[in-house]
Amino acid sequence: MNQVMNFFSNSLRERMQNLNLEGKMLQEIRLRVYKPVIIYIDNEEYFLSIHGEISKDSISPMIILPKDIADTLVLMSEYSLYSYEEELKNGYITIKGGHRVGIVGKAVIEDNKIKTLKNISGLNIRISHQMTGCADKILHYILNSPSIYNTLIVSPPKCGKTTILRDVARQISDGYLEFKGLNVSIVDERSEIAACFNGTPQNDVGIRTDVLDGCPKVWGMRILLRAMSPDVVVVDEIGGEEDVGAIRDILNAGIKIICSLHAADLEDIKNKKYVADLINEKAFEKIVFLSNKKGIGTLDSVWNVVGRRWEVRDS
Amino acid sequence: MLKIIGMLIVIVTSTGVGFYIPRLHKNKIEFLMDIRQSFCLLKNEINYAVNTIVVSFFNIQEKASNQYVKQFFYDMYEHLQNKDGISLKNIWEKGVNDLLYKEKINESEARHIKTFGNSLGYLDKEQQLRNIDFLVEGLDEIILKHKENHEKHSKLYSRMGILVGLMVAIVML
Repeated sequence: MNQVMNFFSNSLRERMQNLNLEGKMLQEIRLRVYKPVIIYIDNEEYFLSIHGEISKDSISPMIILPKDIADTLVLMSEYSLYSYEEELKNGYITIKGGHRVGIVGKAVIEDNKIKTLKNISGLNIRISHQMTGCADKILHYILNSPSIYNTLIVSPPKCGKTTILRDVARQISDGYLEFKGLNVSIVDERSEIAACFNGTPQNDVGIRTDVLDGCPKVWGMRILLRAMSPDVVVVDEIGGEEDVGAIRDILNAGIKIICSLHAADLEDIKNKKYVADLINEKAFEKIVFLSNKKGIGTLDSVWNVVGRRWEVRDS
Repeated sequence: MLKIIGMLIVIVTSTGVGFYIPRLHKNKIEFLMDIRQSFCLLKNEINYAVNTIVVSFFNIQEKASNQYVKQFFYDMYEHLQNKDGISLKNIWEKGVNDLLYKEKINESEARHIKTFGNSLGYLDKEQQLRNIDFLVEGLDEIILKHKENHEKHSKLYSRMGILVGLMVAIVML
């Protein structure tokens, strides 16, 4: 909390600095122009009052002014909005500590592309919580000592794919029980896995891990293949034709791959033409399905290639 | 004998002053060139490395040769790292005042550098770079003016120093 506090405007900082959130999980802080500050703690919604207290009712709430948003954004960007131009186009920046800040305002369009955002009207500060050990339950399906299986981690949004992918990368890199650590390379196009800030991963992604931050997946995979001679490449949210091409290059070079995909089940994957081709080619040896049936990151099933067929190994 | 010693002291002192004043001007020119150089480094930091202002200031203080310039960028870096809520404009203005006082840079010459802080970090990359170019051009003009003055007056000051010394010595006879 203290780390995030430094990024708020003075008026916000004054009201938030006395909040006692010990033992609670701060998840999100939402700032909207001329609207109350809303804070999400342990999946509950609270309003911040002008007296610096939080309550579930909007009683004398602190109202955010444009200056609060502008000052907060300046502090979050370390007085350097220009250095976040590319991220701004995508509507978010990653700040020190790996926290993700979603940004909305007026999009400036040039040549059919978003040039930048102006008149920023809302910030959604999502507090990063690394869930160390959350991949324990799927790791033994992936490991094939001394190497690993090419694995696809699949789930609908908000089921903890990226969090589990990060922990898988960390454990493969550091080593797990008898499994000796491998050189892992991560292509972190949206800074979600390692949450790099000024080039330094803010999340623990392992001692043998190299991170290529902010680079498009397709370029990134090929750069890492040539430059870092990894044992394993980790990449988040594949889907496009070019992604699949780069994955084939990785596999042809004998390098293992772990990636994630937005989909609900095997049927859903079949609708994603390019990834479905990869699945049919048996490029992946394991497919891990996650859901949030019993909380975020619930392991639903693990599919194995058996001969030429896919079979459920565990569910 | 005492008179001769006194005359010699007067001549040496006066000559020394005559050479010291041009040296002061030269120091000021070198100081301004160091400042100019630091802004060129800032431009590279923003343009090629796309570093934040905070990281850029740290890198510049590591490369700066002039101790005052080095200290200025280090102090700026420290202030910004602390994130104490003071605006960059205020931090910059105070830092620039302290820095320019060291070499007695006058108010009109300091104007460009001071106002540079008003927009530092707020603009997009292109405008930021244009802003630095504008500042560097301003510094170039100031440096050129000082160089011309230095060339014009340095010989005059040193000769004046010797002549005034000799004149006082003759009066003392």
